[in-house]
Amino acid sequence: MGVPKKDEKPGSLLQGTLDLLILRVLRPGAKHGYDIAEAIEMRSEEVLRVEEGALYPALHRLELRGLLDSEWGLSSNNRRAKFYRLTAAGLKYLDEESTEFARLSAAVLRVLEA
Amino acid sequence: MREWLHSLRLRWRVLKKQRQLDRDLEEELAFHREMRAAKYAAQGETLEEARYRAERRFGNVTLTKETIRESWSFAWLDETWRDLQHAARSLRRSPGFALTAILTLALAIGANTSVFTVMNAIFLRSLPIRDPQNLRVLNLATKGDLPSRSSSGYGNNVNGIRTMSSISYPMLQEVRRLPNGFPVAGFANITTNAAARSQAQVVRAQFVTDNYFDVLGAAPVLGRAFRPEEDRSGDATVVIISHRLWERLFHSDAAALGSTLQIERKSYTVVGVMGPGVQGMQWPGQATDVFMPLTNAPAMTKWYSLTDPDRLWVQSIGRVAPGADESKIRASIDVLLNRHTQDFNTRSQNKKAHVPWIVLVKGGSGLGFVMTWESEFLMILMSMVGMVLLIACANVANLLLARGTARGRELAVRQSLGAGRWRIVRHLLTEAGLLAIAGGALGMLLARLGTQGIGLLMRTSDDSTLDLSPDLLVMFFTMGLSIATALLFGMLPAFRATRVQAVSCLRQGGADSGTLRQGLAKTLVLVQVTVGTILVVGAGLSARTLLNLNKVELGFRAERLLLFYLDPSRNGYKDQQAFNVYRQIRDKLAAIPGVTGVTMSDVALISHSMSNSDLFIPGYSPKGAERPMAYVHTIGPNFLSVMGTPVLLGRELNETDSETAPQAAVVNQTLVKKYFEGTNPIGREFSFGDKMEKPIRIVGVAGDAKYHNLRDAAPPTVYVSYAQGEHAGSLYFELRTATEPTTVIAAARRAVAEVDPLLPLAEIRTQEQQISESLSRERTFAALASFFSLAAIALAAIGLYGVLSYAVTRRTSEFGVRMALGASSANVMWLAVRGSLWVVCAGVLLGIPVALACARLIESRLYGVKPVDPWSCAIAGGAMLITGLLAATIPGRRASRCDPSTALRYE
Repeated sequence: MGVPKKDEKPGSLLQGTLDLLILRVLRPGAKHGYDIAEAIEMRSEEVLRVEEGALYPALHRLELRGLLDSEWGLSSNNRRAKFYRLTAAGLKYLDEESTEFARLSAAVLRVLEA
Repeated sequence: MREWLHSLRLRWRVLKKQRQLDRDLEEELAFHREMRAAKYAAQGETLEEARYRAERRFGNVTLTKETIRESWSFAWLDETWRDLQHAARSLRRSPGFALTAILTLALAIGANTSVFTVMNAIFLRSLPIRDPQNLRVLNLATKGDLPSRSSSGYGNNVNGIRTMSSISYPMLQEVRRLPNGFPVAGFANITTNAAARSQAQVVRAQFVTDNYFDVLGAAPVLGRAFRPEEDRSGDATVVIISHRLWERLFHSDAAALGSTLQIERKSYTVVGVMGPGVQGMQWPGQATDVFMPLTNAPAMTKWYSLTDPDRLWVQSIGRVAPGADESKIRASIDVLLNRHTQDFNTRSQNKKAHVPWIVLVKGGSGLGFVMTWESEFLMILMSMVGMVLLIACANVANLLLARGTARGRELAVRQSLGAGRWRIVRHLLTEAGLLAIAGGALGMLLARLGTQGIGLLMRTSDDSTLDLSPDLLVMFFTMGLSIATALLFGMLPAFRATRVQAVSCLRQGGADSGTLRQGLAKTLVLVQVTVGTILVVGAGLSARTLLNLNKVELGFRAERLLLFYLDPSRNGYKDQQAFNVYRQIRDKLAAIPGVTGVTMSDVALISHSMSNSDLFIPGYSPKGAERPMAYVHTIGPNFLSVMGTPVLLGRELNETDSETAPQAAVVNQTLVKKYFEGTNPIGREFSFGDKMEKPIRIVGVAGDAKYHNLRDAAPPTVYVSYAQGEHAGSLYFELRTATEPTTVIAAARRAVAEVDPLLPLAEIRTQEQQISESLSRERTFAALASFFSLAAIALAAIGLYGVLSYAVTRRTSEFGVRMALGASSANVMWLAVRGSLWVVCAGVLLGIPVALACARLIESRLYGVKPVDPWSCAIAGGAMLITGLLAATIPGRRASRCDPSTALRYE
């Protein structure tokens, strides 16, 4: 499932969950890989630290699946960087899978707190 | 699914731009690390520290890059490409092994493909017609006599059942009228002369019913087919020509439609042109040039009759509707045949016929299927080729086995380094596959040569139109065969090699103990030797048959005799005119310097064609169901003296036996012995054939001579003069020459042209060539059997050499120890080759009985040799043993030269 514990190796996430997070932070607009990692950290309030060795393979996989599109552009400090953005299929996938994720986690929580 | 397709598309796009991908990836990852480092630097660390932390945070860059690269590539494609490169490299390092394997495979696959191509051309390739699988050829089959008084056609005799290709015209009409949903068309062949735009040539013409092209399933590409009324009148002057004739005589001019073609001095209008490749129903390699309405037949060949129910000359084809019940069709026709036979038996006094039944043969590939000789020959050929293939595969398997074992150490190392078993097997299979592809490619080249060779051997006429071009079917067959071979024989060694326990292999410092491997190799050599023996016995039998046939006593002198065929009746000369023309031609030919004798006959000797007839001899009572019968030879004056057949009693037929003279005949010794009990028959009278009422007087007795082939003994023969026949037909001229017969050909042509310039000479050859041609099957068989035997011996030798060579290498240390302990080099050599020589002996002992059993199957083809022929067996055994010894000498010598000290140090 991928909700990390405090004493686990920080930031370890399952692949499917990482995909979801990437798609989510790309929703507002295109970003390059570094900004994606930073965005995930920030939005999770430092709880989730992306394993960088897993990030880029995930990005390329998502691109191959057609959920992301990529384009080379200029970063904020005028360096050449590869930007990723959501495709229509990606948006659809994100919506569907987020709902599913929320449903499942809620169910787990219910069992744990019962 | 859509995602997978999308990823496929993307990956395909970057396939070419691998380096670009790498550069981009490097840049992307570097950018990330630099941003991270910048962040740390901004937090107060030094540049050095910041960069170091960023790198550490990122993790294994190389691993990441590889993971991403893998996801972008077609993984299996990469691996396969790498496998191929590796396999190619390792094969290049052992050129001897690679070349041997490739050549072996090429030989076997080439031979197999050639035979398959020829079989395809004759049997499998369909005619260019509609739905060839629904076409049927109608044949009569019977166990006794057919309800006919005379017949022309072909047939087989298998297990006492005779088949006949032809029926009579009234029978055809009745079959066509049957309401059984089975349309039937009739056809008959003749050879005749045709001329268009003053270019004369001999053409093959086929008389066909008006529905022939419908039933056949091929329509004219220009013009039209025959109309029903044209097949009724009997004198319709319309023809349809073949594509080939259209190209040759009319130069593919569309104006050919409506122009005239002269056939036998009569003008016909061309109303249709057939498409390319449509040859009508013919033997493989023969093509119809001209189609004419069937009812025209009697006008052109008196013997073909539209009214006589007992004269069989029309062949027929039919088309079954898809899903139709053929047994019902056959039953309806059989009822007809029954009625017809009852009628015949009532009408005929001395002959009682059995009711024949109808056979529907698949006709989609032409008449090739109906010819059993061709099919049997090719079956035998295929089995021989199959055997050679077996030997070759055994060889390759042995080679691969040896190689796998020799590399045992390398494979053990790879396995211990983490290579999966499947990975290694795949690598070995790739090697085998590469060998297979190379062998297959070379084999296809060899196949082209082989196909030409077989085609040359099988050709019986010069304008054979057998289409021997390779087609896709054959190519797929070849490739499939080679790859299947390689995989099959590469699998076993591959699996065996990877079953090796890595540790024990490394410890032993070499190959495994390999007793099982040796056993397997020995079995394979045994198979090779056995098969080789069988082939050599076959070659011996066929060679002896050929020799015997060549030495056979002919009964006439065959040397310096020129033959050719003329048919003046086709140019309109009838009866008396024709006799005059023949006389004129004879006189002119006799006047040629260098020609010492001229004569004629209705068939050429030793040409597989003859005519025979019932005899009626007063004073001879036939025993039981015997029907007195003789072979009839219609000849010109002085035939016996020109041909060199001795006249034993009385005189031979000459010019005095003309149309007006009393009917005379010469008989041969066999006939006298059979029907006159050896008494002097001169002056006696008898009658034969259709003219039972007109008795003939015997004026001479000739020595026995072979008639239509070399195998059969001289049959009881009657010689009659052509001038005393009912009508003058075509004749073969025989010219006895003082020197080489071919030198008078030009003069002969001139002589005939002086009488009629539009009369072509056909089938020009010498008598010796004719005899040689009649032996073409035996010669072909002997040549091929010998070729395959040699190939088998060569392959067995290679195989044996390989096995022994490897064994000696493996046992070098053992030999060294033995020699150090006092064994002589001769002892060691014997020790080394002993095992293999036993295998050779075992192979021979196994092969000979099998060969003899196979020989019994072809007993009917042998001549002068029994299937259990001691000579052939001795030759086979001797050949294989000598081969074994020769193959063993080199490794044996190597073993005997083993230096004990080096051998022991090797370990």
